[in-house]
Amino acid sequence: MSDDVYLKRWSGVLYVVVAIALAHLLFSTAQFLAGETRISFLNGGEVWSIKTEELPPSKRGVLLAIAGPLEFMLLYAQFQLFNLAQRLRRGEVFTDGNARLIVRTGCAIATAGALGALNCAGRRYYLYWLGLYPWLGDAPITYGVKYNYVMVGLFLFILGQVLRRAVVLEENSRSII
Amino acid sequence: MPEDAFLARWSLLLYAFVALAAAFTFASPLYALTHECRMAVMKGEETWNIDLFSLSATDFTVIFALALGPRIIWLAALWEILTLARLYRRGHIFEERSAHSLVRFGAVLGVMGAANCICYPLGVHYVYWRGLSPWLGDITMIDVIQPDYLMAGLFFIIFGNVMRRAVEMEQNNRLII
Repeated sequence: MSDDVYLKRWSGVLYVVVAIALAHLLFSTAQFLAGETRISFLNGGEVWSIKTEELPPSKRGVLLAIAGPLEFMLLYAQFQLFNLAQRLRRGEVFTDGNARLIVRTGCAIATAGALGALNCAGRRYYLYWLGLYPWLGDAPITYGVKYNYVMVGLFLFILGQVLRRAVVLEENSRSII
Repeated sequence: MPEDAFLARWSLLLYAFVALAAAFTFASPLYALTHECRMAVMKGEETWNIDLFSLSATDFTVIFALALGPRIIWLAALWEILTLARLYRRGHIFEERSAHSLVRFGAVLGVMGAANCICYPLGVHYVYWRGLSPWLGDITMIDVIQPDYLMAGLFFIIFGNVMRRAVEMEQNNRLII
């Protein structure tokens, strides 16, 4: 199989998987708003949980707004990947635009990982402030940070820089030809 | 190939985040092993949970292995990132082994994504099959479909193949020079 056909085929699969991830994110957000999601916190050995249907829509909205920056970053990263898959399918491989897309995806994923802490703390403090959550607990401020996401984001940022070098390499090889 | 200062610096930071990600991957299972290890299954509004230490050695091992499985696969992914960070730090950017490592990283992420999708349903079925839970817990689409790691895995496999092309280009350039 030639390289281009291979890339086109697999970019097509990536397209589909990104679409599924996008649908998953939107569906879980819709479920949250519809009251189908359960928020749980663990304090020591005790579990406290609440189903979002027990909250009025305005309070669900506030909780969703707290998660908003994180969800936005994930959505942004998925759109960048969507664009990238589209470009690869068109045969645009070594371009500065692709390198930029990868760097942006990396930054968005790393930020989403860090925003996990804001999401966790924000939900906990808001529910405590509403008088629903019985104990604030002693979780550190970094609780909720998704280190896996931060690491993959950083790695994507580095790969973006690697692709930039590959673009220069391709330009050089073209000028030699 | 001369070392690339920018990539070397960022790869060093990647080392630190790999260490953090590894530490946090095993922080919660370690906490569970040393404090309290419970499994919870939900059906509608009902929650059933059990202290895993009260189970037989076989049941404990199976359930703990299902919980730990994706994390162990994640360790393999971290190892690949560590390898890549080391290669990039030493300036081995456009080399076959870097591209191979990238493809392997993608494959491992894909396997982890698949494991994430099946481990929870398997655990729920196992406790029901062994007669531990009174009913078969709910398994929703949101629990089963976890596309994030599948998407990342696919992306890295594609990018690894893009890097293979860059390696060929670099070799051709060298031959011409």
